[in-house]
Amino acid sequence: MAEFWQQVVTGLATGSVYGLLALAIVLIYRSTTVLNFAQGEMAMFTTFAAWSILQWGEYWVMFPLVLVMAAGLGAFIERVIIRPVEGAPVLNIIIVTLGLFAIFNNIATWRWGGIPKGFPTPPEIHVTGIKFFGEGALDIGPTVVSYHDLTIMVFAVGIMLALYLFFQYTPLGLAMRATAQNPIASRLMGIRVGRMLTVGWALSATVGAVAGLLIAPLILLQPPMMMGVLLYAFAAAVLGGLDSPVGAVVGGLIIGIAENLVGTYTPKEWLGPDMKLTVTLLIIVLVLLVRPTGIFGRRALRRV
Amino acid sequence: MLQVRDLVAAYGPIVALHGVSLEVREGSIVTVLGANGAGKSTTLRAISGLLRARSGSVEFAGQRIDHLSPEQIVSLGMSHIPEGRQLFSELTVLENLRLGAYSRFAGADGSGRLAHRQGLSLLGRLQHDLIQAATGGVRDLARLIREYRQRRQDFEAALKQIFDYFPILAERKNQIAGTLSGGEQQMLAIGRGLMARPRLLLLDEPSMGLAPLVTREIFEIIQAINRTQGVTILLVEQNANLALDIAHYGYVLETGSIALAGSSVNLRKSEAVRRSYLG
Amino acid sequence: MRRLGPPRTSRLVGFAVLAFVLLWWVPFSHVVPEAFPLRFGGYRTFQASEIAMWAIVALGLNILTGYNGQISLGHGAFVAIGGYTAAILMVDHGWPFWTTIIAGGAIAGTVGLLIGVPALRLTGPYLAIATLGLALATPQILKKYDGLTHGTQGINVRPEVPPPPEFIKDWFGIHLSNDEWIYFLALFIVVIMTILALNIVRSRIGRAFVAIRDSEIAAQAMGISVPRYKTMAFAISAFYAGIAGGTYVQVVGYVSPESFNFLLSINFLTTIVVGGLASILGSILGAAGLVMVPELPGLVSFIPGAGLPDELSWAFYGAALILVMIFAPYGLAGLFHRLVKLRPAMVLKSLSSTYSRWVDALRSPPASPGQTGTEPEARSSQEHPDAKK
Repeated sequence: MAEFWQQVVTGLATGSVYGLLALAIVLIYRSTTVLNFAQGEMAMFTTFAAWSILQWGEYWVMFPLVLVMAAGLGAFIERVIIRPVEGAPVLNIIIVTLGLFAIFNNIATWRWGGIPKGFPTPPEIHVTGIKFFGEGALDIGPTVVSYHDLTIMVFAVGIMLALYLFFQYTPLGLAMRATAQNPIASRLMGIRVGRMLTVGWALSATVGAVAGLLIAPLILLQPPMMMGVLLYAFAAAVLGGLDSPVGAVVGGLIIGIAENLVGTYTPKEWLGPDMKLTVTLLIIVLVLLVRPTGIFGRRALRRV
Repeated sequence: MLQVRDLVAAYGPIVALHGVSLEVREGSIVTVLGANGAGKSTTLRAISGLLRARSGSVEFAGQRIDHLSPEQIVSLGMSHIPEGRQLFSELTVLENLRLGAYSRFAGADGSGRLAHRQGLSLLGRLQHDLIQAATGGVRDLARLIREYRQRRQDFEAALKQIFDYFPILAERKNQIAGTLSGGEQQMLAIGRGLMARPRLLLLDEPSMGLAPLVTREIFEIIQAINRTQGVTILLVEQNANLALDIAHYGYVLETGSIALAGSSVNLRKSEAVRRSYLG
Repeated sequence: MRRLGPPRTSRLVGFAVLAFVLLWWVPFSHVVPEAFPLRFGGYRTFQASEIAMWAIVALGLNILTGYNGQISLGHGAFVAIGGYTAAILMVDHGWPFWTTIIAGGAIAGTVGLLIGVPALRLTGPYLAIATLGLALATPQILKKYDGLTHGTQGINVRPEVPPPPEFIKDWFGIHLSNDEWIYFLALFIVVIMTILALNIVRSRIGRAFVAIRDSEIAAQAMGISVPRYKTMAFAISAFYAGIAGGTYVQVVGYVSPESFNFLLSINFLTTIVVGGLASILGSILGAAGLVMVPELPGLVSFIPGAGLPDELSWAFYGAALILVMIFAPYGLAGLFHRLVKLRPAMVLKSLSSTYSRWVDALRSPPASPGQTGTEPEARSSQEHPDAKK
């Protein structure tokens, strides 16, 4: 039984990372119906940049720097590369993101090489005697939870909350929601739709950067590192409903847990850990057949 | 207040407006009548900047606006309530109204920055835009914080006025806009347009899809808005009767050109109008 | 139906040139002295076979996605099914190769039909990701059930590929190498599949596909059975992929689980979008691009001074993709149609207007994806190529 809860807890941690990247994907999808296939590579790229910064700076100095850099990267990409094709059919824009995928992957390999590097977990901070972040593990009930896993989950929840507050209660958040729903009316309200999209991409890149920073300590920093995560993130976004940020995170958690449970508890001869990806994907497809727009997705009806 | 001269507009290869000229005097209600496809909505879109005109000029309060974007035009005091209302149907009534006030209370800065930008080279503009994107948010935030209380009061005052005109909106202020009835949606659309405290209101077929009683009510309110606040109104309508009831002056548009123009009294009397539009 | 395009004589000339290039230049130009620039032979002939192979997949996928509007990111799976079926039948059961190819297509087509049914429930990005899941699962499944599939080591088909039949040596006096023989086979197959595709696309079925793509509800109102045609489209495109898989087995001579990974499936989608959606020509051009573009940095390096570090060729490919999407939103086929209609002087004019539009786009606020109607800017001056082509 302890094994079961252990798998669940580790699943929650990896699932949080999938959820974060899925959140980044949903942020862009909601405002533009574009699936950003370069999301993972952008995160990988910013994580490598973070690694470079770490060569001469402290972790908590690097952290805000990387976030700002990621935001700038996202904004730049939207403004210069995506903007010219924004009116084109969605498939065209997706191909552009695939092009970005290739570019980021290649440049990262060329600049930082193919040898995997270690990446640190956020170093500990002590607040009123309680230790936050850092190395080591905690015993919670029948399970052992590493500090890093806790860190991931805390960040995921924190970001989700922050984004929720932002979108619900700030004018900019409201304007972005409006732009996603009805760009024409938004322009008539005086909202600069272009700027909203730029902000959307910047936010998305930032969230993705955090996902990269958090998963790197677990799977070693190397150029192909985010590819598997990206695929799971897409699955999570779709599972939860592509227009639902909550769905993205919940989807991520479900996939994280399912992946572990399938790997551990299915018979090894004809399923088992080798087929863990397949079974997880099968589950997702089955859910989609029941709820074609994801668990939390809306817009099942389209106005003619 | 509004002067449109020889406006030519097209959708790709299809020319919709063949040189339309009209004038809207400050404080008046002017209506543009015409059958389906005559180009009425196109005219409004060309004025508010949603559609870029091929040629011709649009002057608003003495300023040429025909090559400005809709966001800029809104901040100059013109509000366009489009055909089909175009509400944010998944947001609440209150959120829709808040968005209506966006141009006044949140972002658009307009003229000074715009003029500066015109004078830059292409690279300069790119740089300007990137810096704007990066820091504009921060600067706007700073401004917001400074002027918070004043803005709050302005906003509440504008909101109260809208609720005075449309009490039903106050009742339903936390309801999702898409769940309102047709008439309520039209009221919300008008209210949203008014939140920007415009000097000129462009109304596109407010009667569309509404029951006669509700339509009459709305038209009375439109007239009240004009009388008590002095908001100039350019009203595009298919329902000639109602439009001529409240308008001072009118134009009749036929396949992209002005066929008739005159005071509403004269238009009512005209044979052509009676035959085609007054039924 | 009015046929758009260049006049009759230039068509005949074009056709003759094409026939010459395909039937003689590609396989045999290695007899030409080495210094000659576009000399083919050997590896290039193999690449031509590759292009033919991927063109078959592209044709099928274009029918599904371009003409019928269903996005599939998983067609690598169908190629795998076709390929493995053909390989297993040939190696383990000694079937002759034409039958293995057809069997590969048939089995893939049947699976496609089965998948097409649940696919009816899903739309747009949901369908895309679900099919991506299919592509991801394929290598895992192939590795796992190794009793049938020979597992990770794959199946080596080379020894079984039949040599060129004797009569070619006797009648034409030509001694064909294996590569050349396979090239002609692949060429033959792709020509047949292209003719088939042209027929499908111009028939009632093709029109039904397009009607469904443009508006399912309107199509239904016109009496078109949407589920029937959508599953048919899936089956047809899977059949094509299966045939391509069977051909792959002949051309490459070896199949393994990793031959058909998800990157391949994503590449297929890229191929048809870059080549041109809903365009037969586009499918072929796209396949050519898929095979040849990674070669470009190598080719360009012959020009002194224009070099690109080898390690960055992938980035170059990505940049090329982006540029094509910006400047040729209707794909290579769209470019081709535009160029064909213009006289040389106008080509320059068209290029400069595209450039100024790009500069404009960098400045102006964006349109919503796929939105038409309210923003009648220069975009609509681009003509939409004849959708039937």
